[in-house]
Amino acid sequence: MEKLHFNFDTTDAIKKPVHVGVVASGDLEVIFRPTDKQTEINIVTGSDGFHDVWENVLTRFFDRYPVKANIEINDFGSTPGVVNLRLTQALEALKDEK
Amino acid sequence: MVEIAPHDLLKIRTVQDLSSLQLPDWAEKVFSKSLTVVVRRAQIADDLIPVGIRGHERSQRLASWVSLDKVVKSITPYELVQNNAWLDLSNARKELPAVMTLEKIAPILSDFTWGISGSVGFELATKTPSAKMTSDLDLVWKPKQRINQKSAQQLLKTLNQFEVHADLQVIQGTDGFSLEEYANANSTTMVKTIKGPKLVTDPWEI
Repeated sequence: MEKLHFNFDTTDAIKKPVHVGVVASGDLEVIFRPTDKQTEINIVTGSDGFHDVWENVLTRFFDRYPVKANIEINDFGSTPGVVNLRLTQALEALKDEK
Repeated sequence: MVEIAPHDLLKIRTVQDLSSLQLPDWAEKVFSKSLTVVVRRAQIADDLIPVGIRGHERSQRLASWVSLDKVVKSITPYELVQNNAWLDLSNARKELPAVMTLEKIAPILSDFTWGISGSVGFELATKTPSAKMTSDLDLVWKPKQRINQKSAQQLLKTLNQFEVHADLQVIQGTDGFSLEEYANANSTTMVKTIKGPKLVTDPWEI
């Protein structure tokens, strides 16, 4: 098990928390919470040694969608494709609330 | 010829039958004992089946390919249930929480077409220690018809009354989605396909 931490400079604040994904092999759960600070991401993953892969996926995502949130991720061996899709799903859930 | 589907376990004769050039140390060690790979959810190209090698740790997964003609034997997650494969485990392995939960769940699913995947399925198919004290129970289910969200919630509640979390993946063809996600979904559900994951509003529609 490994804990990872990332920060991103972002602009678009969120108003409500959202929770997507499931606790299952090859999947992850993602929780976005409103914050006054910059975007902070805390990841707990069962797969060690993937810091750079996470950084790539997250950088690409937040470059495109500068969502300001406190983000918690619990990962159970998901692929980068699944991570990206779950982040997109969280974004959709945020839009639905507006 | 048998049809190969994601989660199937394929036995091959030798490490050389895999298309990976070189195996990492862990894979060399673990794989030589079981000589069994798991079919990944990806496209079959030129008779090359996408497979994965499992290690003991979650991070120990290696993607590879194997040619169909190198497959000695294939075991589906469903056969493990039909054969009550868990009865063959040693007494010590039967005491693993995931295996104890499996024995309790089996009668509940007696009318279902269901199978065992993940570390427990791998252990039952290969007779090599794979499940751990902390292992979840990964199950697959081929439903005859769709169920609504309320029924899905009830089914999951029944399955999850024991010590270990049971995860049920709904299988339609080569696609799969988590019953738990569907049960609690407000809008979209993720479906894993051989072309990658996608978000859909109705995962039963294929």
